[in-house]
Amino acid sequence: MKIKSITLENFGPYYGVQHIDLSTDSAAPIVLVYGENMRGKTSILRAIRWALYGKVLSHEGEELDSRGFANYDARDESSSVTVSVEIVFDENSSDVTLKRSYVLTQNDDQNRIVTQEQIFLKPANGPAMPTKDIPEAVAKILHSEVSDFFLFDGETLSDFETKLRSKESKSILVRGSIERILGLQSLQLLKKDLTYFQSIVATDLRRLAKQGQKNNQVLDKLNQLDESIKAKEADKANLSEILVAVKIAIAESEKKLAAVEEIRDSLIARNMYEVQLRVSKDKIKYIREQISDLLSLHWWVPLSPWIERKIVELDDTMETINSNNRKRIELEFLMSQLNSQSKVDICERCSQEISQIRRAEIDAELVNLKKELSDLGSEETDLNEIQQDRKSLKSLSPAVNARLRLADLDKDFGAESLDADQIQIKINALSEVIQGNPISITAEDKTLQENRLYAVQIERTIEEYERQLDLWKNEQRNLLKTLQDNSESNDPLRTHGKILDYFDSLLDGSLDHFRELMRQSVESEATSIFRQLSTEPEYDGVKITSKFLIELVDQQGRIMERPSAGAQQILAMSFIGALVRCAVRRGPMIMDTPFGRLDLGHRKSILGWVPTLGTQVILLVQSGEFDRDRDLGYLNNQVASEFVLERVSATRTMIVKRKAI
Amino acid sequence: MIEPLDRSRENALSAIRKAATDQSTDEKGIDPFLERFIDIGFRHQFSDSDRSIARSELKILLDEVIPLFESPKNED
Repeated sequence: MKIKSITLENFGPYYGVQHIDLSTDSAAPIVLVYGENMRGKTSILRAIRWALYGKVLSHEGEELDSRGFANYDARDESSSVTVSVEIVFDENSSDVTLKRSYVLTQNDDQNRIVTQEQIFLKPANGPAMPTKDIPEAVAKILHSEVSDFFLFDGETLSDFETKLRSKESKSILVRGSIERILGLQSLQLLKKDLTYFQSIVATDLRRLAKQGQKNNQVLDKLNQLDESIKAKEADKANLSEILVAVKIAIAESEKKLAAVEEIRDSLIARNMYEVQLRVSKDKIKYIREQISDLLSLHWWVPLSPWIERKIVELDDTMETINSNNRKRIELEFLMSQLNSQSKVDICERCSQEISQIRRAEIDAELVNLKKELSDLGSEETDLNEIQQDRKSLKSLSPAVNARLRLADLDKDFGAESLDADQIQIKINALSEVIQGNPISITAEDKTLQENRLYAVQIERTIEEYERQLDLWKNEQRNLLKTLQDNSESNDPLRTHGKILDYFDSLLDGSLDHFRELMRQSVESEATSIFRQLSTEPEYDGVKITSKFLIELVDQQGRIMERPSAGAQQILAMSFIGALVRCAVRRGPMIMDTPFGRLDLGHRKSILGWVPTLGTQVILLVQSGEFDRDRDLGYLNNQVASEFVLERVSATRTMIVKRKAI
Repeated sequence: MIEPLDRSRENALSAIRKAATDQSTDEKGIDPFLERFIDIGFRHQFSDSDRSIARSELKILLDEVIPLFESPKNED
């Protein structure tokens, strides 16, 4: 199976309808999608998961609310927005179209609700499939149980790597992954089905036995066992329920204590800020004292600009007064001359008679001069006072150094006060966090420890019950066998029972053997991949022990106790690669930011290996892990097409195809 | 090249054949049934909701096997 194309409509950052053609062939099985962080690489992976399975889980395993998939801009523009993902698969050279959609509608309460949820699956040459059959058809394309290994992101790789480092989690992870991807479940489910048939035969055998007399004792014993098993299973069910509740309580306590960690951090931060605030306040106090000392000596310094202005003003005033006085003297002199002229008949200078016209002119001139004199106002009498004021002001020294120092202190005071205010704001915010979580760490920790102990005790009791139930059920089987043996040899029930017993024992005997074969397959594939990828000669291969611990071994087959970080990364990659190669399904690999954690030394060999991972490999990469100029060559011309996720705005990304290569 | 699905199925079959050999049972001639038995398991391997189909298929298979048990073949 391969993905031919994906069409996204208002999904995540993809506004409107956007299409990616993912066609590949065996010569060029890779599609590269470049996108920096927050551009929508993970949204593409989520879109595929959602279209296939109708749900998407977060890294923490919580189901994401599908309303959150709607593009923000589309949602804001309309009260009703269609969100859809359409995938066209190439299944055995025939196209199959899968489309999942919903309409996000704003209801009367202004809440956004999902309406018109639809799923559509249609082969190119056949009718659309009934909705109820679609999950099964999707499971055949790529079952969700194995999809983690095909649709994976850098986090999955990192998670694998972390778990493989720990002996406790390693065995569970390795064994679980192998059983899941290689199909041990199929045999386990067959066993369940056989048990179902056995129960039908057992009921019939008992019904028939009741008709005769010779089996009474066996039947009585069986009835007793029925009662015991029923009671024990009820007890076990109750305990299991309690265990679930205790585990929820444990998870809650852990969450609370994690929050306490946050509070602890907040407390530490607040203490630190309080120290900073004290220092800041001390500084402010010191600056104030400095300012105070300076002012006790040079009290006028803050008034210096005013003093300077005042002196200029006084100078101007004095200048005006002096000028007026000069003018006044001048005018009075002129007036006295004109007055003298007006009192005589003959001009003293030219000895001619003063005419009537001239006399009138003199009178007019006198009137003008009188007016001019009057406009000058009365003679200033306070000039001395002004001069005294000016002298007093002038006596205050310019105190240049003191002024500069004061300016500096003033600046420091402002800056320090601002700092103190900001620190106070931070302290207030942290105090709110601290006050909002009143929790007693000791009490919560005690509850957690008690619950953990309780959970262990319950688990042990359940195990004990299971052992007892196994014994009783075994006894039950033996008694039923007796009934079977006691029945007539030609009784069809006898034959039925024998066949079922036979298949049942076959399955019992084969489960472990099958698991062993799976272990060997994965070990051999992982070794082959590891040898291809590793650049470190001291490691020879991968060993998966009988306890499902995955280890690196040297050329003598000895387990390498402390592999390098690079070798650990390659080990995780080899293990996932081996699972995919051995998987019961073949599908496209879609890897989101897969190389971020891999060291540069291995990049070349890993990129050379990636094309062999599946029939189609879609790589969603960012510049930090894949440098196109440097790394494209390592993919050996096996890239079918390239796309770039271009940012249009914080809420929109455009998928742009790169020119053909 | 063996496809992964076939390889896994082959592994399961081999495991069951081995278990059958280990049991040294008198029942012979059921090998084709083992294959069908495994097929049913693998076709319905993940689908819990689909167990009823698997069960009907198993029922048919068992009905076909019964005559073999009723008149076991001789070891020749």
